[in-house]
Amino acid sequence: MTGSVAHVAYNAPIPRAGTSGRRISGVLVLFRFLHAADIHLDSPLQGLERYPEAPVEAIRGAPRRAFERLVELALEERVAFLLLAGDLYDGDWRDYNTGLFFTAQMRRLADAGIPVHLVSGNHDAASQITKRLSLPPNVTHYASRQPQTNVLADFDVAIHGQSFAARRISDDLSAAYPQADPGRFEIGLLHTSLDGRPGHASYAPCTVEALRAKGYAYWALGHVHQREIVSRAPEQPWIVFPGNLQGRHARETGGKGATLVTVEHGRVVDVAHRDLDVVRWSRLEIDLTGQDRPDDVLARIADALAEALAQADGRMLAARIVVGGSTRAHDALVRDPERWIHDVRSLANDLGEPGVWLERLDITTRSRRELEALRDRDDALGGLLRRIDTLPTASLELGRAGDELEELKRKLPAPLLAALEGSDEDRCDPTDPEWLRARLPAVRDLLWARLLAGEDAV
Amino acid sequence: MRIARLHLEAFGPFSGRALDFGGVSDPGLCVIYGPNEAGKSSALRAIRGLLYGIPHQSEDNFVHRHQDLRVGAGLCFQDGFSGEVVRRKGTKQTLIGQGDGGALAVEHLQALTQAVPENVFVHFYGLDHKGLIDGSRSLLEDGGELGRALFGAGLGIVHLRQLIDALESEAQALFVPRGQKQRIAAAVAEWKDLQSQIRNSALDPGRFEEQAAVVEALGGRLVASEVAIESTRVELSRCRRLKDARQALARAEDERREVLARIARESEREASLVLSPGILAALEPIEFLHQTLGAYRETRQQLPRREEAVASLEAEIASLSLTLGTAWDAEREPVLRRIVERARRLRELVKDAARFEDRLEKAIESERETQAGVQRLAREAEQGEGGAAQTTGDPDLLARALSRGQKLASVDAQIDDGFRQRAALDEECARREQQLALGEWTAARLEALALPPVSLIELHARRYADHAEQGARLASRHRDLLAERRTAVEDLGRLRGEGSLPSEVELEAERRERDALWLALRDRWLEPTTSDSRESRSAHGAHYESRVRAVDQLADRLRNEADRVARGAALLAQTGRLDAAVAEVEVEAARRDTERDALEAAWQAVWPEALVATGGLGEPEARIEWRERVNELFALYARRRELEAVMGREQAARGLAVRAIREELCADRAGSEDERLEGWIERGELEHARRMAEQVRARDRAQAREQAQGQLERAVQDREAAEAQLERWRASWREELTVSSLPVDSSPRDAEAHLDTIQRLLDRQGKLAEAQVRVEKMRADARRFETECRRLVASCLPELPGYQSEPEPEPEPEPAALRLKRELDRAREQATRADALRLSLAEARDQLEASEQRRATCADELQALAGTASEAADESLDLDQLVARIAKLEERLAQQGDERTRTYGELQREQSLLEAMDGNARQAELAEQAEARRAQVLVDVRRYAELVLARQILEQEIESYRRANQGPLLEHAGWIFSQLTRGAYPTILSDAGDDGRARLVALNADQREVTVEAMSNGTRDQLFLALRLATLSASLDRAEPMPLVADDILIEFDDERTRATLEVLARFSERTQILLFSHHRHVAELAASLGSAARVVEL
Repeated sequence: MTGSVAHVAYNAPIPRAGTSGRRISGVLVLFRFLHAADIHLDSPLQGLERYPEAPVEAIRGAPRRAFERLVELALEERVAFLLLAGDLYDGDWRDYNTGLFFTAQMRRLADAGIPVHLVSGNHDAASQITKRLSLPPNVTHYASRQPQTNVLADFDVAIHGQSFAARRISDDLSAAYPQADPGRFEIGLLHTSLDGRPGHASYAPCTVEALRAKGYAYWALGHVHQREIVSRAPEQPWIVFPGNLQGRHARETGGKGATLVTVEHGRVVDVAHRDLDVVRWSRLEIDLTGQDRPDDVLARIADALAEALAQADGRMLAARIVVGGSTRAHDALVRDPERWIHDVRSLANDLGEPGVWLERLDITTRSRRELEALRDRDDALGGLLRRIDTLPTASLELGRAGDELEELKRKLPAPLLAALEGSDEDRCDPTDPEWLRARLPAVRDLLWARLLAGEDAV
Repeated sequence: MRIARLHLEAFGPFSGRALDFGGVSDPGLCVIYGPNEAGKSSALRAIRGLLYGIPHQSEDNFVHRHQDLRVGAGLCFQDGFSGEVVRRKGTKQTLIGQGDGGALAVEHLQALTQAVPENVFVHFYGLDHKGLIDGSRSLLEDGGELGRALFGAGLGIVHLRQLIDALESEAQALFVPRGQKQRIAAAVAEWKDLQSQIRNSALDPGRFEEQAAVVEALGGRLVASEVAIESTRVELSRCRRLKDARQALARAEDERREVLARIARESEREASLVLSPGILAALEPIEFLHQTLGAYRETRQQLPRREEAVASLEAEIASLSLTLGTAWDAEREPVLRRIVERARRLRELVKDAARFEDRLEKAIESERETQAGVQRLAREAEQGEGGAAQTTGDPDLLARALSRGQKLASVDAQIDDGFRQRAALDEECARREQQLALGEWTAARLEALALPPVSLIELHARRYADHAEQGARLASRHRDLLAERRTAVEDLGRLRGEGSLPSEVELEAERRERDALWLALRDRWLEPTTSDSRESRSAHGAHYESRVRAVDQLADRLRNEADRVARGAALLAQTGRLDAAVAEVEVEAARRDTERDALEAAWQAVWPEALVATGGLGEPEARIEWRERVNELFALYARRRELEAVMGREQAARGLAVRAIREELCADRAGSEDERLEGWIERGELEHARRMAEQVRARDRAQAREQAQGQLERAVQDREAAEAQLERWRASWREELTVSSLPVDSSPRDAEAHLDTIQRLLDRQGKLAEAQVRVEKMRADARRFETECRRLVASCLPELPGYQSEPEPEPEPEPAALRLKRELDRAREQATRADALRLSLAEARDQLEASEQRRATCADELQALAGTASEAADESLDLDQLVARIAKLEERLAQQGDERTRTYGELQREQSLLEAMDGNARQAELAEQAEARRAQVLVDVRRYAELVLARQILEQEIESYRRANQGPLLEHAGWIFSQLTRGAYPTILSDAGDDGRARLVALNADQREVTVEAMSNGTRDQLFLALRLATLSASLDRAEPMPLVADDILIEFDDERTRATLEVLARFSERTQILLFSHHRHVAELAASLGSAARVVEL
């Protein structure tokens, strides 16, 4: 199975499994299958602080609705089978309703005669739901003790898969997968971090070379939330992370969905990504250089939001806005961030349906002045700026502030402060000197703006 | 940096205005004074705009457009460099260099403004009155807390305390250690609550399976329960039917017995009934007779009264007939009816008679009155025409004559005025002729001569005058030249008197002589001669030497006495020039004498010879006035002639007008034509008015006569019409009487009475006929009733007493009719009872048959039921046993029903619990809410940390700044404060307050400590100013300073404090420029009084 991939427009409907169609020796030679992973059903979207005008309804149950879209896509495309490459649930999620929702969706596929093949990922391995849920007969759940192979005679396809037995698997599961039968279209279904991906813990590590060596036509991987085609024709095989189905926080930006694969005569002829997310996460980095008036700043943000919303293709947008650049509006921005957040939320609200949710407004602008020159002044102002910049890294002289921050930390439950998985960006610890040091630029801007803004702006 | 000049090219109210703040060598303190509306604020903004750019939305565009705003300046920098820059409104490259050094000045300024951003400049180098007051108040509110006072003054900010408080309060809104309501605590509480909900309400997989099993078990129990109930229900139903069949059989047998007894009873009663078929056959006649019995009684009562009424009507008819003149005869009735039919026409004619007669009467009266009016007017006309016969003449002709006269209304006055003017002119002419003393040259003679016009005389006068003036000038110049020459000669004499004057000519002569001597001497030396003795040679040599010395001396003198020599030469030249000039002037004087003769001849030539011959023309100037007065006299003559012509025309016109009026008034009346027109017009107008009035009266009378004549004619016509109408009525009346068979001479009233009588007679006749018919009918009815009564008694009750014996008396019909009715009722009752008994018997027989059928059916059913149940096999199973069994079965069924209901309810509950485990997303929604709270907490924690850190760092820096700068700053500020207060407070100190913090105190002249709280407002303002100036001063040496811009900071200082402050500022300005804006003149005056220490610029 070598040669280049032919991207053909297949307008003709592909016969559903079990029905008559283009068959050679009883085998369907043209079919499609759908590959999805990291569904994380019922996992809430993170970091969306609610505010009065926020489009609350639009985000409700987003992972479920994305999963429903997946099922609808499978029905629409009359796919031969659906592959789910792990992390169907969140590991610590205990509500059995999530499993019931999943089985209801699977029954829809069963009614249409579409089989589903799934392996458990690290999250599923820890899930009580996985262990107890009775699955409909069209769902094949691969065993965790050793690789398991299922042959779909209708398509002359073999699927090899192995579930995670525990949350942490440090062995290369793929090693035990069988070698391919040369005459057959073979698929490897595996939850793995491959040879390591940023932001993702290393689970079931393996190498591209090892996967290639198995001789499969397609490796349907899961675990990495960012869509990635690790290997493609003509090198063979196709090794694909479809990404997760619905972005869960501000770092999972862009379109999310599943991969639709078309196979003809035992060859992959088309691999296409289909967006299925309900809420589109977006990080808008806006350069405000030259935008010196507040009205200019808001207009620029409004333009960026409108553009991002247009690109979201009718989805609700959860936007983190990072304004930067050198602008005279800097003082006004840092002096009263709450006001700006309110104004930007109003802007977002004015954009109408399907809505924009302002996740965060990060102000990283610089003033047009040269703070370096000011820092060198031998007066009260220079002294203040130098103090902020030269606060010792080992121990901050926090005095009363330190006590207050300690007090605050005691009042906050640890799970509430836990950072997002694989990221330090949103970590929050008011007693950690490093974390506090990261606040110093904002503190300097705040003091600068308020000291020299006049009494009214205090 | 220093602003030497500010060019307000186009800014605010200014156009091309330049303010000179002085160069490097001028005083640094510059007081810019301008009253209100002078543009002080615009100038302040212009300085800021110059340095940092003109704001996008500048308010200074009320004269110049935004894009035209321009501010320029000449700038001097500390390194000695200076240059010109211009700031324009815009977004890019708004600062432009001007001339040499402009570009470099731009660079310098940009470097400076980069090092001192605009907001730093505003706080650090700007000081206004509000800032001063706020700073002073801040000192008071902080209780003179030293760190904040120094730090605030150092930054030029006054709101340090508010800022720290704001940071604190914003942080506390987020979190307070023991607070529950602050944002963070509230959100954490909500998050915990949501977490708890999530934990408690999660659906466990085992729980779902358990629930499903429970529901299934309950379903099974429900089905079993239904089966048992059905079985019980079937048995119960059979037992009930068995019991019912037994009871029904017993009831059927009882019923049969009862029906047989009833049949026997009723047959016996039927046999006992007595029937009367004869009377029942006459049922309808007897009923009718009984119904008409009432009517019969009524007829018998009313018949006599009706007969009396008939008789009374007949008598009245006879009486009315007699009134008409004849006895009643039925044949007359048609005649009378015809008369009555014509009655309406007759009555209309009667009404017309009254109306027509009345109309005729009114017409006659009207004719009579109109006739009298006509006669009266005729008499008046005769009288009027008699009076009018006196009037003659046509008023219109008179009006035309008057109109002509009125157009000349003022002619009398004009003619009078003409006479007055003519007399005055005569008098004036005589007076002027006398004044001119013309002698034999009367005015008339003069007018005939061609006298020269005044302008020509004036021309000659000007020539004479010019000639005389030139002569005078020439004489004067002659005198001046002579005097000047005299002076020059005298000066030359004096010069010469002072010593001989060497001259170039003299020197040249000496040199020539010397050179000649030298040549001679050389020749001798080259070719000595014998004759040339040593002495001779020596003498020549000595002579030559003496000449050489003389030449040298002369040359030296020429050099040493150059001034004298020059002066002498100049005087000599001047004398020569003056001599020539004197000669020229004298020649010119001679030429002028000949010109004078020519002028004289020309002058005389303009006059007529005759007049010249009389002599004494004199000079032209003297003749101008004479000639003008002659002209005036000629003008008077001309006016007199013109006046006479006008008067002649006016008198002729007046004569014509007077004649015309007079002719119209009284052709026969004679009068002088010289009579004044006014009188004739007045008479004419009176006569015209009289004639017009008379004319109007005559016209009114004629109109009235004409109207009266018309009215009389209409009255006569009305009367004749009325008479004709009455005549036509009389003819109709006669004709109607004839038709109505009334006497031809009947009056309308007679005719009406006759008609009324006939009408009444006919009414009575009608009523009589009706009454007779009714009496006859009543009699017939009575007879019919009596006959029928007798017939029925005879046929139905032959045995009735009084009807059997012959000859029978006429029976009384009423009792017989009543008896017949009673007998009939009795016979009918018997017949009814017989019918009822027959029906009852038939029904009883039907019941008997049905009862027997039911009995057979029940017996069959009982048989069938008993055959299906084992316990019922015994036919002897009695009713009581059946009832007991049924009760038992019912009890069992009720128990089974309850059991099923319980099971069903339980199943419902469990089912709903199971259904609630439907894969819903409630947990997910709770998780979403919890995540939202978490996001809010993270944001707030970050903000809280920033606020707390900001406050902490600021407080640390304030303390650090105090420790580092307290000593020198307090010393300097103390000195300034001492100067500002004129020594009232010589020193400022730091003192520990109650809270251990350092505080500002001042020592007064008595060395007593005075806290900021104890100071007056003005003193505290000065203290703040001292701190500001001290901190500013400390920074001056470290970098190039900007100008200090102060705006009306002295507004509340008295003259003494103002002066002290100006002195301090003047001292300060030696180190940096101070631009002090003020709109108080006394500030400008006080600054001016400082002399060279300050500069005052007026806006």
